[in-house]
Amino acid sequence: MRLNKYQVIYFVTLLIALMAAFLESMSYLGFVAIHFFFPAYIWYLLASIIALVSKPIQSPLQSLLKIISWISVSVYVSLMIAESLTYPNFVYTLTHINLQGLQIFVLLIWFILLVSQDKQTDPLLRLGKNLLFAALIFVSAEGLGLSLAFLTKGITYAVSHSLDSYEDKLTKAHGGFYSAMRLVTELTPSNTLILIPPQGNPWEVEGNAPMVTYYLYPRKVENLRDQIGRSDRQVYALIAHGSWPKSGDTDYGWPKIKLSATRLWKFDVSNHSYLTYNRDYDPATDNWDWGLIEVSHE
Amino acid sequence: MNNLFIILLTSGFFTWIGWPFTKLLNKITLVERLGLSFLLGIGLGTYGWFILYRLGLPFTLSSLLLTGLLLLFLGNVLGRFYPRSIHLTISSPRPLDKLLIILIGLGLLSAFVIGSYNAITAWDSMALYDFRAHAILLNHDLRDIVDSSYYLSYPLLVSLLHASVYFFGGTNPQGLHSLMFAAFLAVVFGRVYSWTNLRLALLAVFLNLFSYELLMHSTIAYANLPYTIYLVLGFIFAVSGSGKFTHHLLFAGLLIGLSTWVRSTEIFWLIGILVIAYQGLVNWKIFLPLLSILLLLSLRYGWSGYYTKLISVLPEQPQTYGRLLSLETFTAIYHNLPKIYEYIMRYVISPFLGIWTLAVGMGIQSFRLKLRPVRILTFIIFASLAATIAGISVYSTFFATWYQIGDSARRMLMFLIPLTLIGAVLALSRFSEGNHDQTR
Repeated sequence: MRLNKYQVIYFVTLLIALMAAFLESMSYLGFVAIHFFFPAYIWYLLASIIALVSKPIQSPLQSLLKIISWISVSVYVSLMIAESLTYPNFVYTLTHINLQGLQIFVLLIWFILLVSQDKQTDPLLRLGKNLLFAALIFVSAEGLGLSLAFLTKGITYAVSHSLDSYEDKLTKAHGGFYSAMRLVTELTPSNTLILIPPQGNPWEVEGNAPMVTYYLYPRKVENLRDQIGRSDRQVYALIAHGSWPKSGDTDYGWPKIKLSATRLWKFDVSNHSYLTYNRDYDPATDNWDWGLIEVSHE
Repeated sequence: MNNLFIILLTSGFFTWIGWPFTKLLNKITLVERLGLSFLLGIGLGTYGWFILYRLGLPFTLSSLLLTGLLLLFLGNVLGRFYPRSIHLTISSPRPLDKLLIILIGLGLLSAFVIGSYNAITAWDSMALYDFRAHAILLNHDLRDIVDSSYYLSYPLLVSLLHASVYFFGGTNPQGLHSLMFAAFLAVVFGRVYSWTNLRLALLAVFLNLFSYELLMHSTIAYANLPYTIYLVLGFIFAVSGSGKFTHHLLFAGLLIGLSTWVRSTEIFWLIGILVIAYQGLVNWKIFLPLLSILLLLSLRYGWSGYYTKLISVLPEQPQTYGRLLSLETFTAIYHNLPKIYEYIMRYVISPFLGIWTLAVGMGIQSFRLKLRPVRILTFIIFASLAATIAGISVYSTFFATWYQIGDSARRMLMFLIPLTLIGAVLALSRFSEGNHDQTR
């Protein structure tokens, strides 16, 4: 097959555009602009415009485009499924493939493939129609892949844990936090005030007043800042080591100050039980994972 | 098992009270009528329940049932004066259509099983929506809710929906969200079917069902999906409210108004008003579009008026927007431009790259081929993008942490997925035969 000079320009531009998209899939968006002066999207635009104004291309090259298009969409969907079944950034961590870059590659190659076989002569209609079809293929393949992975994962879990009670499900979702909240509701009357750690690392959940209120309501919940103020309710303070991995300067363990108390409870959240102590709270000795202080106002 | 029964009972109740209102629409399929009844029942039922509370009745099962009776009365009176309930029959499916129906059925059933099985554990669904439902169940009023700007940050639709399940004796209302999604798809089916044909209507449902973002949200108890449902259906009825169907504009106003009963801070309802007004202008109608806009605004005011009154006396008042158009704001936006650009690319464009490409494609098609409904949908999509960019720019000048909450921008724009998919399927109708109505 002999190529004329326009076709040579077409294929060279297309090759550069696909290479740029591929490079950015393997690195990061903006890689081409930094290392090769021209931003990648200039090449995408150029390749698309040339494809739009060119005549449909012939069989062997079209077959090659078709193969690359199908492979690329299959790889993309498989990687998206892998990501959705594991954790965010799983694909990048494992393969260094940048999914945002890869989606551009997939869209571009499908658009070029569809344009290259379309006999429509009006370039604007050609653009609209083929953008529509390329994007529909991309969106439906991505959506279907992710949805099937999501449904399979969800149904498999529901079937294999079909005998779990509602409480089992909450324990699995929130771990020790949920068990601790249940123990607090068992140990305190409903008209009391429960003091919790300040919201922030490492008390992201147990320091979140609305979240704690969800379980302890109608008890009143407040973040304790400096010192315990006056209250017309019996006051309790949660003992919380910190259930989130430490990421800042704040050390684990709360409350950090000594508190005068009538009783302390040390929780064993895995067995849903507790030990009772009739003494004051001292952070040096009572830095437990979970517990509760019945604050004395004397 | 008891909870499943309660979910179905609650759904039946809301469908029943929404049913008479759908008699105001003619030439719709039974599938669409059922879906719309359910969604109108939930929207108007919870709204009416709230209005009765404002009038002095506590939130109880009796007041919910009274709301239902009042709505049934209202719906039947309106239905008697304006009867239009002519059914549109669905053509018999061919083998590929049957396969699509089976896949859609399986997908919906799976979503319902997952949503009903899982406990409510997503952060906001627990701490905000479901907490308020528990508090309403316990107190029969809004005490402990109205004294916190956090608990007042969203209107009550989702919480009252959950509360209704609890009042009926249920323990987990999450399954209702997937039923709302199914009802939404039923209306999407009906709208697209009335414009095109069975194959494309099923394709629109299939694409929306398996769009992951929507499917995933149908299994959790967030407000984003209900908001998407009411807003998108409102837009679709606004688009279809033309020619012999200008009465659809009333449903547009009603549904867009109900979207503000789910989330009130977004401003996309303004685009709805623009489209309703445009339809009024091109169809030389004044009364119906005006009534529709009034309906929308009064539904919105029901919550926003109450919210404004409550929030003004709270010590922790939210940021006011008094200096919105000040020179200071514009200077701050100019200063933030590189960051705003990066944010929009990362959280608005990139997560929806396929959807934006689709929107551009369908936009070009619609203008070149004079597909009027698709053209209006394209306008809605890009007007929403413009509103989002403007909103993010202003927001960036008010809150120091604006850059850290990209996920919420993504969830806020979820409604663009069904709008674009429906528009794309309508644009495809040019390549398909046997359409019911020309999309011109």
